[in-house]
Amino acid sequence: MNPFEIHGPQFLLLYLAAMVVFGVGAAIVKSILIAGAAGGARADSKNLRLHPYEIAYLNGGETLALQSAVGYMLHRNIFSSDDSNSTGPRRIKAESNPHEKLVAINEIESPPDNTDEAGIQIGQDLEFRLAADAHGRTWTEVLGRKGRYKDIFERMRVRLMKRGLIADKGCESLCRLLTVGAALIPPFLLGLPRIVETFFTHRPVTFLVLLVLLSFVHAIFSCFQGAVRTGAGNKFLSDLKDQNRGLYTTVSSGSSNVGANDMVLSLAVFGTTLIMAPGFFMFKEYFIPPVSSSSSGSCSSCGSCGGGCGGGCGGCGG
Amino acid sequence: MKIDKILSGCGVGWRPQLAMHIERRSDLKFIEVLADNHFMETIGHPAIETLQKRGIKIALHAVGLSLGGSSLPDCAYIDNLNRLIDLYGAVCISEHLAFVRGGGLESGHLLPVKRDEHTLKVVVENINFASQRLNAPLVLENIASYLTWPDETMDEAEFLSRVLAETDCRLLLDISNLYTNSINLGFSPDEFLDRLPLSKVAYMHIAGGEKRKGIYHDTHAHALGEAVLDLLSTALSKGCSEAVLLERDDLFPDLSEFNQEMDRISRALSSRSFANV
Amino acid sequence: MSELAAIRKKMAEEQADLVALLLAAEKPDTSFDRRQIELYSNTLKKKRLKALKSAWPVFNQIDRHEAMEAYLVRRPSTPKYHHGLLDGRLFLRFLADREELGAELRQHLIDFDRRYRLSGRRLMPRERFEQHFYEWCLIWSRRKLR
Repeated sequence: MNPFEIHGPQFLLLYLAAMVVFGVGAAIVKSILIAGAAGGARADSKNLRLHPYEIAYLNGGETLALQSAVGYMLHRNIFSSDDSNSTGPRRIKAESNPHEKLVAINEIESPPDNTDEAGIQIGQDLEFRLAADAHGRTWTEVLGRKGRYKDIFERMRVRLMKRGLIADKGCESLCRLLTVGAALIPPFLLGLPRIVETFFTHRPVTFLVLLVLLSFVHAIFSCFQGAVRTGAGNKFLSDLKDQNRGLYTTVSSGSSNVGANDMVLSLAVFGTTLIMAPGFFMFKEYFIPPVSSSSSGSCSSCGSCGGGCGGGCGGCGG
Repeated sequence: MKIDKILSGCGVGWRPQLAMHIERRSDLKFIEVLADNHFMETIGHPAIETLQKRGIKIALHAVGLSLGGSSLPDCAYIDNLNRLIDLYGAVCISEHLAFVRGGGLESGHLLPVKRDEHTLKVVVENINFASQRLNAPLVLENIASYLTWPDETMDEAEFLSRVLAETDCRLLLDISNLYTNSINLGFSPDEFLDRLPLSKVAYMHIAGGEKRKGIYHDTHAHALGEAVLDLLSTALSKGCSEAVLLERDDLFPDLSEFNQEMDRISRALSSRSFANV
Repeated sequence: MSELAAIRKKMAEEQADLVALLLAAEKPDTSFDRRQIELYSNTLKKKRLKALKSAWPVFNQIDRHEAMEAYLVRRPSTPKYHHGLLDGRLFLRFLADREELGAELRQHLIDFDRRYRLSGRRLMPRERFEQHFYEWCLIWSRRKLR
């Protein structure tokens, strides 16, 4: 049966089905490729000794790694959010001498737990680079200059790859090619020929044009897809989430008794959704520029009416 | 089922602000979940469930049952507690020997009962009513109070002992509350302990406090004082249960301060165990 | 009336008197120690406000001390469930009645009502779809919160 003999909603359904079939097919092939590329590497979450920025890279790519580092600097007061412009996006205000402060902190305070020397070095390099570069910039501008940190991200990538948490470059390219290909087959095979045909038949194809555009947008985004996590990488992240439920709860509660390293670990493991939690109020105004009057909850801090022995334990009670 | 066989070692009152600290404490044996803060939950809190998977036992703690009230405990409140007991597999539920409401008003606080024969009868009936309906053993806690009723015929030690004798319940001995009352009302905590049936103690609470304007407040917001820790050691040496729980409700400590507090409790417990050997 | 019922009745009266004494901070003739009552009454008030501010941190930033005092007089009883959380919601309602809510608190009120609904005397969290439905209702009806 010739698919071009089908018209109207039925053709749209066929197009949608093709999108799903090729998408699922690509995902299956990708998972087989990744499983092979991981070479059977097993990730024991306790012995990997990664820096929180590396975990952030594994979880959310370069953006989350950079966001975690900026978050750390904000928490340590090396950076502050410049509030001179209350309506536009906030800019970073660095300490007068951020390098000195970073050196002092690194000398006095212990590095993040369960991190090896190389990981600590990578973390410090990223912090020093940021300290030199981020002053006076908005978050969008810092993100736009990600290229300046490329060598550091590459070191992270290599370490994660050696531990079997992300796929190697060849596998990554192949996966990207597969995703882009799967996204482009339906428009080239079905969508575009039908649209060209309508130049002669004058049939309405508005919905089809929208679907084809969607396919192209998907393909373009897939071109910029970051590192590809292996099964071991996914398991490592999921184990970390399980092991740090308490950290998530405490950070979400807005409590001030969490140190900078733990704060950054929570951001690395649980991602940007945590930025809306009250514990991240100092980051929020920088990462999410003010739009209108405050809208996120006063009560989000209490969750299920959280803190304190509500009914009667403090003071002179029980 | 004997509760003192179920709970042992160090415990902490679970609060969201301490969830990270609790998660990282490897020697923890049990936690206490404040029921009134979890009534909205329909599924277990993920952080608490993770602890459960590690084999940490869960005790439930309530403040609104009003066992010392003039009316029988509220069945809807008991149903809520039972839901949480089942949800978390709680090994016991503790409540204060106090009342919280009167004349249609909620005080929002634990108020002391008038200690006389009449009240004793009502309290015993209330406790039996609640414990028959609760899905876990009920444990009674002594409260701190600098308010005393006129014309009382019993002191706290006698009243507590009588209640424990006339019910099947065990005692949650709050060391800080005992210390607070001994300072504010002027009695010897040692003698108090001697008059209690200490074999009935299921576990103990301990918390920090401070003295303000001549009155000691168990604030649950300060580090443990030496005097309170000494009293804990005394209670342990007199044969109280070797299950001690740290309560902290405000000015939450950072990880190192929290660990110091827990280590002090651990030391008190291990010195008791050492003495037993 | 059985003996126990009679005891309960007398006990109810005594306890009601004590709670009223503590919550209203009245100073009628009482056989209690005046100083103890005053201290206890203050502790109760402080504890209630602390619970409210802990559940609603916005009140640490916005000073409504005078209104809070008035609110405690109007509503001496603490909510039976979800003390601080529900107390804060009732306080906002009290402010709205006095037309003292202000834009920021109004936003907090909307956000709270989007996330919770009152069922009897208990708060229930709204399901996500219910939250969206609430938002849409709010937008379409352009309802003005009292």
